[in-house]
Amino acid sequence: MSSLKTENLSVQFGAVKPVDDVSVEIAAGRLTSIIGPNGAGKTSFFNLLTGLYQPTRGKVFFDGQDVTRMPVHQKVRAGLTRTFQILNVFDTLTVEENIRAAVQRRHGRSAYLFCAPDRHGPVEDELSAVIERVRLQEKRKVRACDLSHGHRRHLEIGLSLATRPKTLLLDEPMSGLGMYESSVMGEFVRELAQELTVVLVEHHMSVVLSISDTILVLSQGRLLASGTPAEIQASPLVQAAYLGTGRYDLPQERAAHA
Amino acid sequence: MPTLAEVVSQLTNGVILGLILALVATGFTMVLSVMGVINFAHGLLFALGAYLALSLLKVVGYWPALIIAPLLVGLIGILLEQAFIRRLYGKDPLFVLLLTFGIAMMGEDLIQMIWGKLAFSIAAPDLAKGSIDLGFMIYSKYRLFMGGFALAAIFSVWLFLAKTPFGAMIRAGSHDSEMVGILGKNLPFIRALVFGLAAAMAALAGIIAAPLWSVRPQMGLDALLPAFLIVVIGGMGSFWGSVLGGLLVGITNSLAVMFVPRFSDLMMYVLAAAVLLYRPRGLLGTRSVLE
Amino acid sequence: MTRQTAPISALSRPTITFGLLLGMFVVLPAVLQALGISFSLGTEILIIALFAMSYNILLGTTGLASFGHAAFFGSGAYAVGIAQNYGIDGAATGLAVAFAAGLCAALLVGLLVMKKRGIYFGLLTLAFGQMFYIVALRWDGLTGGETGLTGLRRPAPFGLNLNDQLTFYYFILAIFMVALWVIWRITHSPFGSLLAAIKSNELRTQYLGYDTARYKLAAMAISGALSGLAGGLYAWFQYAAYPQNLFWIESGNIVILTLLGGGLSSFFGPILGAAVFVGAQDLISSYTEHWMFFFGLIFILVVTAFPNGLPEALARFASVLRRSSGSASEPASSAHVAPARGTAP
Repeated sequence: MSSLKTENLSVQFGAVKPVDDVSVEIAAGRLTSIIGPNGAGKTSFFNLLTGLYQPTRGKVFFDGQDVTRMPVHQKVRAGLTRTFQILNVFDTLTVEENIRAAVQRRHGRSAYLFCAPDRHGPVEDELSAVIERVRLQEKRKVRACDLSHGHRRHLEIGLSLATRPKTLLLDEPMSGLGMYESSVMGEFVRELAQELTVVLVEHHMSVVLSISDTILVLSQGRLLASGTPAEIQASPLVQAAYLGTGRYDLPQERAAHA
Repeated sequence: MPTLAEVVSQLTNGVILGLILALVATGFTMVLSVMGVINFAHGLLFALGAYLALSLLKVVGYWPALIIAPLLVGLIGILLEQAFIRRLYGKDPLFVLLLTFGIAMMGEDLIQMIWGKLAFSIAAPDLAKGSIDLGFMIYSKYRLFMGGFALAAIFSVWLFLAKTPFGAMIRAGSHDSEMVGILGKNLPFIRALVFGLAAAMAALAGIIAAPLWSVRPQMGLDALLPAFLIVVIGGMGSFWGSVLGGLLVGITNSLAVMFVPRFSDLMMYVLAAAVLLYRPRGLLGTRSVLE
Repeated sequence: MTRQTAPISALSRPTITFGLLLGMFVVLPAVLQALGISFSLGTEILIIALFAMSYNILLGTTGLASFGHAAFFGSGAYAVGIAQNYGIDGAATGLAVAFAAGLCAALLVGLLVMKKRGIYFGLLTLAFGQMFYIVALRWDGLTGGETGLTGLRRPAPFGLNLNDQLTFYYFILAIFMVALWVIWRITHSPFGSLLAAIKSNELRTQYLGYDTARYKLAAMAISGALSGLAGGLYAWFQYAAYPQNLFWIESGNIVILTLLGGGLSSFFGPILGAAVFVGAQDLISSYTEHWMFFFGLIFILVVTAFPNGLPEALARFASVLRRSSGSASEPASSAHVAPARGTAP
């Protein structure tokens, strides 16, 4: 069963085609990673999947339903959400307030005008569970802008989890993290994939190779290859694409260490 | 019911009014898209053009005034940019709009102090006095002159933007905020240039409109509000969008004068609202950095 | 089950501020009398402060800079006037009519602008706000055209004589305090916290599954309705509704005085802004007919010199003074008038 499916998905801005005729199926309940050099169109692909961009051509299906023209918020309600490469949290709000904004929607509380936001048991219980899940218990009352980079990454994932997604797209959750933090994040992502469909864009190749079920390779907006980590490492096409840039870990080289 | 000749003559009026408004609006949208600044003082510059010409033409005559006044207003525009607006780049756009609010208020009052509260009229130049028989209708020579002049001005600005290196830089800056970075050390110069050019265009429009519109302190607003709506209709940052929007507003207005005279100046709002609902980015607008 | 009882300090803080405000406004007429100033200045400050507080639901809480709020204020004023011309007089109905007019006007503009943000939101509210001014000028059968609606009457609720300036002041004060409490409650509700989320990051709010356009429209509707209410009170105050009440200058004034009071970061800030601005307005227009010149100057000064408002500017000034004098005197921030919004529960 596929969670997400695209058909000939393309977007064009002027003469630039960040995503060009991509048709893929992303299996439900698995961890699929998307790799490719910078500018390969990975983030644009996420933007198309979640409705931030409107495709010039092609379709997006989620759980078998055509969601191509569905606005962002409806996709999120249907169970498709994402995190952002450039951190995207509510900087001026505390950790608690961040998560509460996400949780209170499903409790129908966001239209309440005449009560305090933090006095509703079910919302508070769920909020505590999410905060524990992303290990921010100590930071509940800290404003997001005062958190460390790593904690902000956790908060960002917490915000997305609080919407109770069926499919979660993670856009470079390890960027800016150190080696140790990255491996912790890798484990966490693997853990998430036990319960929901995860699509991961990431440059940390060793982590990607060790945790993914399937890998898609994008290059210059097009789908270059797809397969298991072993298949991708063996693909001459992929090696050629990566050799061309030289800036990123070579899959093979990394695999030797893994 | 109006006769056919009346309709044609009104439509021509509309096109000419549209060209004048387009001249105001293209400058306004240039400033908006290159600097992200809503210049509420743009109307003041329009009025200033008319007032300066009013004083100048007594001394130097109509034609020199037509050249000198826009240059002066362009200079004033550059001064405003250098002295005030430049300080607020990169800050909340709310502040710069309020700043231009303040400039517009001070300017309008200064005009009242210098020239008084009463309305003046500027006589048409001898060349364009009287009317002309076009065969199917008799039409005011001055209006034709206005239309032709506005059209020539719009076309020159387009040539400047399309064919000169400065124009290329301005276009780069207005399409993409990242391109602004590439302009690098040229950026302050480009910003001053854009502001000066927009101010001169507004002033020129003010002068050629003056013989038909009375010259009064509040005349700026009569040109500024249509400019707002024209940007909404044509699409933010689009040069030809503003020209198209100007023509549409002008024609709408002239038709409304015939059929619903009392609410004629509301019709452009109806037009803008309709465009906003059905084409949120305007008729020729593309995805903008300002959204 | 609530998790815990709120800490006393968190609950009492706004209560204390409300108490202080009420106290100050109760004694204000005595101060005005001592200074030989008419009570009506106090009344005007209260009404404009209510307008500014309503406006700040959009600017301070939701982060939307509307430049057409005079349209909603003026709609309230005209609604009261028009209702009177159709024989609808009472205080409660007058308030209801003003509220409804502000609400409808805000919904109309809101439907056109709710998907926009930033500078484009400002441009559109400014343009469509001015539309109401044109309607008022042209539809003279209903609105009295350029002269407006004059000769309006103040109502007589509970047999009170509101033509007495002092009685009218306390009548307005009562409405002001109730409205202030309502705005405080809404700002500090689940709905209000969502508006704060939109202000902080609208895109992220959409990615939480919210149709942010609808929340922005709701915020506009509430803000517009309360602005309309303030406009209705103003019509009683000046016994008239004028086209100027709908004019762009009025829209600009409300933005600048909200900023002046520090409304971007403080809940009660707009009240301070209204007091200072209305006071200055009164002073300037009694000395010169060139008030527009000086108002323009105020605009330019505020945005270039203290865009974060008077409280912050005073605090900065005080710290400079302290440093230069070397003494450890008390900080002269107006914390009582404008506590930071973040500190309230």
